[in-house]
Formats: sequence, structure tokens, C-alpha cells
Amino acid sequence: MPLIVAEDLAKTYGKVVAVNGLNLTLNEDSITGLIGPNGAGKTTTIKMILGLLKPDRGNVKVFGQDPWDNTTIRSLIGVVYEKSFFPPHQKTLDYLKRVCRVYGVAESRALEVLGLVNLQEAMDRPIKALSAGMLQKFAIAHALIHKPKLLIADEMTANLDPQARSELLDLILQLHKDEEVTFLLSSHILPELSRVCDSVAIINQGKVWAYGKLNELYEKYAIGIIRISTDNPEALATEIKKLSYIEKLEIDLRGISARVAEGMDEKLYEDAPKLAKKIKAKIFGIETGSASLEELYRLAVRMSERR
Amino acid sequence: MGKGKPFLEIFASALHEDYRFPILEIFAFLYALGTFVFASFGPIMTQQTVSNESMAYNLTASLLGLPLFIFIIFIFKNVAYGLGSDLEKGIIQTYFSYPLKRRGILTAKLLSAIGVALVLFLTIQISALYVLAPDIISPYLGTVLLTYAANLSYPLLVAGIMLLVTLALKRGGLTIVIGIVLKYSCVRGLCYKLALSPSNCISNLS
Repeated sequence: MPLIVAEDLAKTYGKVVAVNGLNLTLNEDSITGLIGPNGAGKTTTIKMILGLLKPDRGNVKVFGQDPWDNTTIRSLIGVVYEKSFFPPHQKTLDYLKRVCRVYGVAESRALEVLGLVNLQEAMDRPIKALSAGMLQKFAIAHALIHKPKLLIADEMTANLDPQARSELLDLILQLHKDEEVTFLLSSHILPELSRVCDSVAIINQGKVWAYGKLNELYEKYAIGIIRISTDNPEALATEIKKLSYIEKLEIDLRGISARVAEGMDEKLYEDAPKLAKKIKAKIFGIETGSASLEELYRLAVRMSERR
Repeated sequence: MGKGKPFLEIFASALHEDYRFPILEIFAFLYALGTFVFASFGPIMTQQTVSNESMAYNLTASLLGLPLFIFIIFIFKNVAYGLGSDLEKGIIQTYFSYPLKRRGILTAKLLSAIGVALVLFLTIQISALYVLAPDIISPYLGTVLLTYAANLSYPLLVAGIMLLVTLALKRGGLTIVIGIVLKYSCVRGLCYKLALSPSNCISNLS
């Protein structure tokens, strides 16, 4: 069952178009990454999904209902904002106990969630005395208090040190496995997303440009990346660059990475040895490379900017 | 889940933030001080023919001056600075993730910001009136309450405007500046020009 269905969502702030005809379906039991450059419309999309903003056009359903001012949906969702703020003068454990009472869960859950994010030692500190990283951990604990079915996080790992980031990613995988929590994670840190996400939605200029299971997307977009290892990469790259179907060419330690126009990969397999022969270079191997999330992201952003 | 508990918890959380020690104690002290320092029976000493109702009004009006000013400062602090800062920083956004309607969350915040200040003000004032002149006040409780309603209408109007400005701007510091300007220029000037000053109206009535 899809937990989130957004259809033709649009939102403008004055003259700025933040979201423009966005479609997104988030399935149950998935970890989906929402990625895109700054100003792509990620936060606005998340706010519309959470019912904090009303779309100018289109509609969004969360758990089959309109999220605007919907208390039922709020009790099923956990939220971690990019910058989280809590009443500053209350102690961490006291405030979490209050939140337990708001959701009608046992107060013992407060200590439990502090333990999940390794923040027990700060339980008697006022919230204002927490460091940025601790505050982020506290926000995560706060979002987990009512055992949400869906957790939406905007830059969840911001302000965390590498160790805490790694632990948090493990926690996401653990919650997904043990408690079947569905995640929608917005982040700029692509290696982290590729570690935990099974699906991604690449958003730019207010639209989703690529969406699907990561392995399917890798398969789809890897077609155009060909790696050539040679003894003279500079000279061969100069020749290959002249071919009309080459979209991008890079030289790295592994040799030449070339992105070709769709359907032209076989042509490069034919042309590269001929060019190598012409310049008297040796080719050690030609292979179709697998795309990384970063390459996938760049490709989708480029596609969106071309249209 | 009942709706009462989330409302009460958010109200309690707002109270905790708005009235941290010793804010409530200081304001209660200032209210009490302002109430008793300026207490005056006024015309009772000079005009022997004055009615008991007039005396009840005069006494009530004499107690109002400084505490009313303190009340306005209290509202400025809680609405413009408190609510405005919560909106600006995003604490209200955190509250909006809880299973309670928006109106419930804002009501809880307002009840804490204005309701508590108002209850404290009225409790100290009416207690003082009964301490100072129980025989005069008891028969004319209606006049006393009307005097309060008339005098509070102006600060509550300012509070209402400030609330709208706060919700629109979502900026605590800026709202407080606008509130002070409103208090001392526009609204006050307009009220006086239109002869709508609450004290004038009551004076004319009595």
C-alpha cells in the first residue's frame, strides 16, 4: 500500500516556484531518499506531505488521508527537521516524558529512545545546553517516541560526527528491519543515502526527475558509462572526445570514463579499439561501469536542466 | 486518544517557558505593589454627596493605572517576544507535529501568554478591592467588572493586533517594536481622537 501519494503538487512563494507538478508515490516498508540540489523543492515537498503547507495545486494523501491539520496522521508520523527546535528551558528527559503523555505512550519510552541515540548522559540537561549534534540526536529520539510507521527526515545526519552518523544509519536499518518503519530521508550526503536507501527520488526545479528502486535506476542509467583502461589515456581521450555521441569524458586513475548518448555504447566498443590503433595505444579492457548514486544524481540534475 | 491530554501538555509546556522563575513572581509582586500604592478613594474625601457606586468606580479606577501598564508589558513579553520567538525559531512547528489541531496548539499558547497574565491581574485587583473596601465593592460588583472590561478592552485590542502581527511576521523582535509603536502612537491616538478612551466612557457614565 502506498503511504504517500503526491499528485501534480505545486507551491509558489511569491514569484518563486518551489514545487511544480511533483508526483511521488512512497511505498510501505521502503527507505526512500529524496535528493536534489539546494532550492530544488525538497523541504517544501516535505512540508506539504506533513500538512504544514497547503499546496497551490494538486493533492497529497498520506495513509490515504489529507494531511492538513490531521491529528490521526500526525500520530503515525515521526519528523526530524533540518533544524529542530524545542522549548529550551526544559530538561531533555522531562520534555520527552511530556511528549510521551501527548502521544499516550508509557513514560518509560522516553529513556528508551534516549538510549537508542546514546543520549542518556544528557537526560538531566536543559535542551538549550545540548550541542548541535546532541540536539540532532535528541530530535531523532523525539521523532521515535511514539513508534511511528513513517519517519520523515530532512537532513537527519546534519551536525553529527562520523561515528554518530554511522550509528544512526545502523539504527535506521535496524528500525526498518525490526519495526518495519518506512523512511523518507532528504539528504545531500549521497554515500549515506546509498548505504541505507532502497529507492531514491531525484528532485530538481520542483519536479521528480528520477524515481525508483536504486538497483533498477543504476541498471537504467549505467548504460551510458563506459570505462576504458589504456596505456595512453590522455591521447586516447583526445580522440574519443571527437566522437559525436560522447556526452562526457573523464580521465582518472582507472583510465577513461565516457558517458555516451543513449543506445550508443556498442558503437564506442567498436570505435575505441580503432582509435587506439590509430594512435598506437594499447587497450587493456573496455567495460560498462556501474553508476554510483552521485553519478545518477548528476545525470538526473543535468536532464532536468536541459528540459 | 482523547484531545484533552495533548492540549494540557502543550499548555503546561508553554507555561513552563513563559513563566520561568522568577518572571511570574516578579510580575505578581509588581501587580500587588502597583495595586496598593496608587489605591485612592478619590472624591470620597471631598464630595460628601458622592454615591457608593461612584466610590466603587473611583476606587477600582485608581487601582488600575500601574497594574494595567504592567499587564501590557506582560502581554508584550508573552505574545510578541514569546509566541513570536517560538514561531521564528520553529518551536510551534515542533508542536504542529503532535496529534492536536492547530487551533488547539495556538489556544494553549495564547491561554498561557494572555490568560495567565489576565487571571493574575484580576485575582490581585479584585482581592485588593475586597481587602480595601468590602462594603463598597460587594453591592456594585457589576460596576467593578464593567470598569475592568472597559479598561482591559484597550490592552486586549493591542494584544489582538500584536497577535495578528506576530502570526504574520513570525519575528519576535520586530513584533515587539511594532507593538510598542502601536501602543504609543496609532491605536492610542485613534482612540483619543474618536473619544473612545475607556476611562472617558466610564467617567461619562458615572
